[in-house]
Amino acid sequence: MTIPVDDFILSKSLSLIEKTKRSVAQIDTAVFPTASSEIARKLLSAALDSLGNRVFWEAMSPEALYNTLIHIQGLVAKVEASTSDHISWPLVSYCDHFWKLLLPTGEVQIFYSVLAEHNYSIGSFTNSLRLLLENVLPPPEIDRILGGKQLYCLQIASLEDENLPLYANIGHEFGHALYRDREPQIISIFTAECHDVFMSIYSVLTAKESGLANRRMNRVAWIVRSIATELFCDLVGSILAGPAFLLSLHEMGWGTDQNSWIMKLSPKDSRIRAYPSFAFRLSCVKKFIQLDAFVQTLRQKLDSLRDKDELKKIPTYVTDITENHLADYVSVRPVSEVDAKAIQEAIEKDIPVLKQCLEKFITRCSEEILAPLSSQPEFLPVSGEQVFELIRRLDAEIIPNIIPSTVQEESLLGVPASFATILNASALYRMYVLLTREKDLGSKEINLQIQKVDRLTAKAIEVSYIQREFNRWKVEEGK
Amino acid sequence: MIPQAIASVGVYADLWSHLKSMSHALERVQGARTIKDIAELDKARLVALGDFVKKELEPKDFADMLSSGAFFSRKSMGLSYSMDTDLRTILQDLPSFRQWLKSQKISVKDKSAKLNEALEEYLKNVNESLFPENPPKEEFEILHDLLSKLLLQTESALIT
Repeated sequence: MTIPVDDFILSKSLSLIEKTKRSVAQIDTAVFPTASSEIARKLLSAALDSLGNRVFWEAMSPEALYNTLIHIQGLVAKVEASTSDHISWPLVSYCDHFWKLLLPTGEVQIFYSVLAEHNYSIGSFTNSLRLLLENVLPPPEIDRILGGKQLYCLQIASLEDENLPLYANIGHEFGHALYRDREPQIISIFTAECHDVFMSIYSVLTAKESGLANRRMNRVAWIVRSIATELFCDLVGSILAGPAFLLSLHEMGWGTDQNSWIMKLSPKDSRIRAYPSFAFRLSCVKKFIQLDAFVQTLRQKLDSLRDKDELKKIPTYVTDITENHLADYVSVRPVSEVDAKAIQEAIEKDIPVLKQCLEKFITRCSEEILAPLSSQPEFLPVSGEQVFELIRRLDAEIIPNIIPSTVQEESLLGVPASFATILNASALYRMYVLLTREKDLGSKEINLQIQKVDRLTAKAIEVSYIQREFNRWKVEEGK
Repeated sequence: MIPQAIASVGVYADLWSHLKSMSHALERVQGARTIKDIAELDKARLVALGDFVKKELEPKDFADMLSSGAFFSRKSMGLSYSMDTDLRTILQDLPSFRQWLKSQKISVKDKSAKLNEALEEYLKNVNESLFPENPPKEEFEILHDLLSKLLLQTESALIT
């Protein structure tokens, strides 16, 4: 007698469906940081109900079903980690505010979770679920479960308390959702600007092995598209956080080769990942954040301080970031991939032209897609003068939440500092603390100094958010 | 560690599951006796198989695709898979394909195109609620053999 393996796997799967349903039902909804986490929970619950519906069992591959359920555990974990125990509400409230400014229609929503790694990541929760269900449920049922919703999950770094200045990267992550939302317009710019370089790469691939050129070119297209997406997201990060994004991006590249364009092939096209070199990215960001005006004002103000020679060097933390990308090269991985070497050679040959095309692409994106956003008060360039005021406060160990009033202003208390201004002051001052530590300090003292900056920043973000909400309420109530 | 394919995660596990579900649908439709035996999911997985095979065996000319403005859209490029091996070579190495090739004097390219045509014709009938009296037995067996070969390759990629 042959053991009916499929029957075994189906039974195991059905049992796992119930177990997972219980896990989803037991998630503590009271600690969700925002209401949208409940949408994710309900989507999972609906998907599991459908998988448990015997009408669909017969046509399902038991192996595919079990594998889908294993992958679904990862989505459940994201919802379980969506808890205000680990995510600060002022941060997500600010994030939600920016999200709604970027994607105002309300059709695209977001919930917040925590990433096991010390980094930030965004992904479409609904797309991930759709791809998993496609193997085991008929398309009309999947459409019914998802109901046309588009829900993203932003995963915040697990060591959140140690990561405040890297909040600037959240803008970059939001850029991925904005890219998807404006995809047709962005793609049309991309196709127009990259047409010639694509044809050049294609001719190299055709000359090498014509039979494989079309397939390889399809993968090259995904690679270049992935690179263009990253650069577009950097633009969004720059608009939201200004020089703080430049510092964050710079910090993300610490310890790594600044000139390598990393490309990772995958059997799944949408999982092909490619990143331009840090040097090229930093150079692009510098062009878009109006650094000169910011640095000039900040320098002027800092120069007026007495006995603060080290503090006066703060502007150099952004101006001295090197962005020489002349020595850039391409690295396609994994090397065992049959297409890797051919793709690497073809792209590397055209890298200078590709850079020019990508620069034109982001310039047009900035003018045609992001310009309307830049006029919103929240996205105006940060003021060097205001950042200076907050740096002074941090230096005096005072919460950097208020921009002191000037003589012309009515309020003697000053105005609440914006999220971006706090972020910039904190990022620059933290850099100052890290660079100017006395050599005989132990780890305990260094940690204490860094913690002071982090805590003052966290408190400033919280207080400024409350002040902002209070001011909005006052206007609405006509008080 | 003992590798277990069904409990693996990651991109190769996604591919494995994708291939398994298509292989399962092929087996089911081959055993179907009436139109009622063919579920919506079977049809959807056969459509996915057709897209997959067509993309790998009959890749479109990139220059033509580039001239169509929609090429780079996620929808057009699809959330699909690109094998890291040449599917045409694998196909030509299959004994069932070689045997089938002998039966008619046409090129490998035309013959492989016929695989997809057979699948498309079958789906067209099924979608019109016509139960195909003569399902393309040989073509479906070749496609099944092809999926089995790819599953084998993918399983070795699952080992971490």
